[in-house]
Amino acid sequence: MTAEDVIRTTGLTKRYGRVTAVDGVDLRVPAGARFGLLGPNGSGKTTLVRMLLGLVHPTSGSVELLGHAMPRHAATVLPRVGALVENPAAWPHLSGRTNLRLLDAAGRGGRRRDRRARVEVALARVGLGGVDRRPVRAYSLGMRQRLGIAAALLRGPELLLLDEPTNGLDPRGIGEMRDLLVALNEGGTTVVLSSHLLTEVEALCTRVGVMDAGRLVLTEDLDALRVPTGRVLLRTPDPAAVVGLLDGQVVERSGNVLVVREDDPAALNTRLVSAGIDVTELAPQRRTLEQVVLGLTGSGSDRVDGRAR
Amino acid sequence: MIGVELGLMLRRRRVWLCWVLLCALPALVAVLLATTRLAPAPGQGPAFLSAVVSNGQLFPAAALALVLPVFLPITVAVVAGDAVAGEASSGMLRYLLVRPVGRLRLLVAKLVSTAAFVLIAVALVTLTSYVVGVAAFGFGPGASLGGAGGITSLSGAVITPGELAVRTAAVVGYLALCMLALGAIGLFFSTLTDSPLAAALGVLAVVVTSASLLPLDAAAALRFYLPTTHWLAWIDLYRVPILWTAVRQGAEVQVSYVLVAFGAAWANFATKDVTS
Amino acid sequence: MAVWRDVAAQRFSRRWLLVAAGAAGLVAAGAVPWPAGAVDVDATALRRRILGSVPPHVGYAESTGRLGLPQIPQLESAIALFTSTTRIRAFVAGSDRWRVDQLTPAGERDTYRLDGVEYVWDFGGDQLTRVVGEAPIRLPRAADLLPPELARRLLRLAPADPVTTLPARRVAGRTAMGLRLTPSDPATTIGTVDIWADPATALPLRVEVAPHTGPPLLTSELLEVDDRTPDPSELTPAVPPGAATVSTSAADVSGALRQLDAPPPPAQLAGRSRMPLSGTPDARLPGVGIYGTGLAAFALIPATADLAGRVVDNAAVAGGTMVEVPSGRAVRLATPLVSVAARTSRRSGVLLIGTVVPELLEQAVRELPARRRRA
Repeated sequence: MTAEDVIRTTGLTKRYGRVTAVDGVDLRVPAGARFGLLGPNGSGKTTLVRMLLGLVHPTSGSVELLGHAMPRHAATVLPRVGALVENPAAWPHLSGRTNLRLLDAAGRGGRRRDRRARVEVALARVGLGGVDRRPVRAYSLGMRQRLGIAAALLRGPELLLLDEPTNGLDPRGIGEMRDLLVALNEGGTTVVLSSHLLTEVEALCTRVGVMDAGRLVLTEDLDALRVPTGRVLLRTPDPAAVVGLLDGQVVERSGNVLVVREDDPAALNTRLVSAGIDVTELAPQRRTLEQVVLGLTGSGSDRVDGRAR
Repeated sequence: MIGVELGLMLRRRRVWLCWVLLCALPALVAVLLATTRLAPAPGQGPAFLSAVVSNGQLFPAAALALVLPVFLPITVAVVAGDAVAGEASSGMLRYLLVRPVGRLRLLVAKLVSTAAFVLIAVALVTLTSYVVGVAAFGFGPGASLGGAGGITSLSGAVITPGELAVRTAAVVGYLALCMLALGAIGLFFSTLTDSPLAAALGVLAVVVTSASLLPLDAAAALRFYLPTTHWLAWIDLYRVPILWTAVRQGAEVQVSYVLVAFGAAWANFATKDVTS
Repeated sequence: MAVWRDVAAQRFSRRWLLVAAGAAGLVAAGAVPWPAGAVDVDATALRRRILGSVPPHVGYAESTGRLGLPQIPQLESAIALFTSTTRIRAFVAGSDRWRVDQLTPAGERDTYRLDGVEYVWDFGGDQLTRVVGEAPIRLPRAADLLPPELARRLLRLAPADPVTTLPARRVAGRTAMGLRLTPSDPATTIGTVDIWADPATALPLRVEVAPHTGPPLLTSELLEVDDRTPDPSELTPAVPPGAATVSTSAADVSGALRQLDAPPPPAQLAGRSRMPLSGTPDARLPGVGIYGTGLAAFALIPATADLAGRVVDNAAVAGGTMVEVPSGRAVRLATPLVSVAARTSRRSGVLLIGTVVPELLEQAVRELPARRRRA
């Protein structure tokens, strides 16, 4: 992992009339990272991604992608970037293979044979290697999603920007996609995915950014977010004895399960065992990503609550 | 990108449907004329139609006069309106732009494919109507046995078949240019909206506005600059000697429309936020 | 941050500015006239030169009339010349060798004159007509509106009226010198006749006819002109295979008039004398009279009771004034350049039309004797 940032935004802001979609975002994504961009619907994730790709022009602030300013150097930067923006799209009346061939031919570079081979490799990677001549119109949601990812992979990108990449995939497909992204990342590709599926991001990413109401409210390594909370979950056939021993440290009791305030789980175990209390299960409690995100963000833009007067 | 765009156009069913319908209307008229022999009185009805019955070789000119006022503009509006807005509504616009395809290059490719569409459309109408016309009405009274004779020009002098081919090619080129001007306007509208239908209706609104201003004396000062004013100038190519004045003026105005509309499309699209 | 916004805004407006400048340039290229050079003109000498010669030329002209005339049955095509735009192409070798085409949207009507014989090619009718003889008066046709022809005709009608110099003007890519004819007869509706002609050949390039007040209502201009003698092939009418060839005499028109059996026109009407009419002997026009001289003249044309009745009805609808006459109905209609009057009785009718004030025509209508079919 190099120290170089593949994405660097400074004070990035986008206003649509009086609405501020993205508000002063300073985002850094280091090369080689698996970065998850989280946030409720309408928090500005998509606008941010579009600004990174030069589709939307910032009201103010600047974007650097792979070390070059965007959108000025789009022609040199974008061939090295693969992207899935919002949802996959295709010319519905053409087959998936024709779609990829035309899309690939629209960009510069490559001889005819290389281009053909490139399309086959990308299709194989996403599990569409044997796709027939049916038009995309007849594809399932999952197939379209795979096709969209294949399009992003066409040029062997150094940076993958994926918006909701597992949308429409079945659990097995999600697993395959996760393996694919991890493999690509280990080959040196920086992966940035934005999602509102926290478990997805938790399973895949090494670092997360959380957006809320247009602002980037948190950027942190996933490990750092998940430091122990100083509480231990304890399951025992004899809860009354535990309460007697650790009176004052027990925070919660529910049947045989107790939550105990204790920074050192090993010491707690030794103490219980030496007191002759059976321990069925003992685990340090960690915060889930969900708790982190929900604690940081307001409700999404798709919810309209009445305001108290 | 131009090759991709042409490939995409040729794979669209809508485009083929437009071409087929454009060729079908004159063929239908030819069949009706041939069975009833009820040609419109001279000087009435669409240009050349009254003369067609005596010489089928004039039918391409009559066919062009038939499709020019309404049918051809509609197909051009549909195809040109779809140019950018269609990609936007299908979501392909953002994927093309991040491929990356330069925005100017995308517009140029769209204009070229529109030009190819109108050229093929006009040429197809001309060719099919020649075949249909000759089949329905024959080669005309001047034809030697089994061969193509000349046609009567508007000025009375005879146009030989070779000359007729050259003049008809010029007509095809001129009309394609007129339609391309409309296509460029459509391309501009297509960058303003994500709805292909809205862009196409915008083009038709331009055509209808221009056509309804045309006969108004109050709009006489504007007349020269209206796009539809010069649409009928190609008829002068069937006079002897050819009268180039109106055709040249028309070509100048249409080229100006292409330049200005394409420039406007570029000015709007170059910094437009793509949110589709 | 502010810098970025400014840059984006600048690029945005700069592109649009470029496009707007280009569009304005293109419009200006078509609309702004080239400056005309200065030419020294003596108007009287120019009039003499225009009347003195018919220089050969090949050109394309457009004539626009806005006379607001009512529809007169059977005269539609003549009236259209004065109420709409006519496209004309001319091939002129001399006063007796020329061809003038009236270009219609879907056809052509070409008049050829070759050694005293006229031919008319009509594309719509697919027919070439050979016209023998010459009628003393005939309906206006496109050839009459060709600037050189129109200019000469108007100047010839008023040889003594004063002419003044007009500033030069750019016509058909040339600097043309101008003259203004102001009719002196107070009875005419014509206020001014402006003519611009080529300084070298005195070929009239543009003619404007205006009423006493208001803009010109008849404008004819050669948009393109070449001072070459047309090729003989351009002057020879062709008969394409399948087309009909017919021969007609100019006298055929007078035959139709003879059917009306109209009385001879009075020697004087509204204080104006009847002018002698020329023409080949077989082409006399019974009942027709031209009254007045110069630009204040009007024609008396007999018509069927039915036709005159329809003109009376149309003119009344078009804002004409009914005229009290002892028998039958009569109307007069004033348009800025041309006045029309009609009178109909049970068995016959009459039309009066001319470039005179309507009061004159009203007086003429009253003076006409009640017509009776002669035994």
